[in-house]
Amino acid sequence: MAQQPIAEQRTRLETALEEFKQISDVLDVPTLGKPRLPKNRKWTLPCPDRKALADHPAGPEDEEVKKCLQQHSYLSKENEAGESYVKDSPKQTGRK
Amino acid sequence: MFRRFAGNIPGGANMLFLQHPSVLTTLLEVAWQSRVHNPARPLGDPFHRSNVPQLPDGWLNALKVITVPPIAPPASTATAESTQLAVLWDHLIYAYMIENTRIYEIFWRVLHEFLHGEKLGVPTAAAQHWLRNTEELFYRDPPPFSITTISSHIRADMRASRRNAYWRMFGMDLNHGADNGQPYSYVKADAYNNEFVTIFEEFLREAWVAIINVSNTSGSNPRDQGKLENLVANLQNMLMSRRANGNLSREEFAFVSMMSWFHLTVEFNSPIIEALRAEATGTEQRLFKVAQRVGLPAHGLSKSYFDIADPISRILILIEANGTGIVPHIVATAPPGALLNEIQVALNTIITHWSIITGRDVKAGKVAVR
Repeated sequence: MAQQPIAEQRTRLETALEEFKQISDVLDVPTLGKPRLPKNRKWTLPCPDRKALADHPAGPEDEEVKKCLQQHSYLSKENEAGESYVKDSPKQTGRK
Repeated sequence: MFRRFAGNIPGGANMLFLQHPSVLTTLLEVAWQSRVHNPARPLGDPFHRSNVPQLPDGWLNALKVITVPPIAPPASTATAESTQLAVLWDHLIYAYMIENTRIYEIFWRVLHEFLHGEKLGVPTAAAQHWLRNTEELFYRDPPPFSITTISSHIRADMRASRRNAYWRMFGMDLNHGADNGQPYSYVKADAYNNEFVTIFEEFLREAWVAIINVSNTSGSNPRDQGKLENLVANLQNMLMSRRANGNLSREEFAFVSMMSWFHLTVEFNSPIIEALRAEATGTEQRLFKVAQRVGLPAHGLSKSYFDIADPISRILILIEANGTGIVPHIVATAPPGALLNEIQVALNTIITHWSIITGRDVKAGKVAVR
């Protein structure tokens, strides 16, 4: 069997370990009691429904729940503005 | 996948369980959309698993931004587009190992009891969300057009579909049959890797020899790099043959996602674990307690199945991606007292738990018959 060029062997050597580190990095999972996954491996998830948040086992004082509740209240204000616009907009008149 | 979506335990996991099932399905679709995709690699390669599309981008992108905040996958770890590693999923062997604990059947019974009566008590408010999501995602047909929709009139039984995939890829069936103790009926394809277990065990045996000689820099050294290369090439060919043109990629994605949900459920004292009064220290201990509550014993070696699942998945992905390039790192030496490299550490864990699971001591030397 022909020997591979040394340069190519070195590249495959570096590539395999590098690839394993990349694979392990991407497949990294959180562990109980350890810090969360690093920022560049973290998914951004939407906030659950406000009614569902009320059932969070750690309750409303949990930091993530607080953050979501703040976002929900922002959404509620937007809704109020929307309703107000509808209320105040002039009535549609028929064709003259 | 779900363990990675959670981001941390228990905070992220508890938030994940409160999501609507449509959001969880969208997450899986986005994960498929963001999968690493290097068209220069052969189709079926870990970095080019499939060309089958997710929901059309216009539709999926609208679903992503309809939530607050919008769904976003992790940032890429590389700069070149062709090698961006945003999303990978575990090897099918991960799903095989987790399912061998009987976790799927055990939680089937949990849902059955909670949804039909109060024999296990009334689920807590937080557990209600877990029950709804689990039933919706894993114990009924998936929603139409989803990437995880792999059931149809052609293959109506997901449990049989999983066994079919395990048989084809590893030549192995699960260690348990149906609930009534009878063998589980499924299609046993003629094209399957019937030599996988033999070759893989031989590979582990040679890897062990290399690991225990890692500091051996003088005198005779029984490491056999040539044999390791032959075994790894064999494994790579075997696995990639089953993946030609992206075969089994969607099934693998669906099955590892499913098993990761159950794995996450027992990795901490999650709401459903608390509702079952099955709190414990240790993943397998929680599963044992849940199993006791529903009268279906988990596999006695569940700890080894949980512990082997992650490293064996990563090693098989690396073998598929890199082939014999892994061998120099298995036989690499290190000065006395130095740490093993990451590949050797992963193999060490696999060797330990494979020996426990199979009852065949990979660390024992071969006896030469004269």
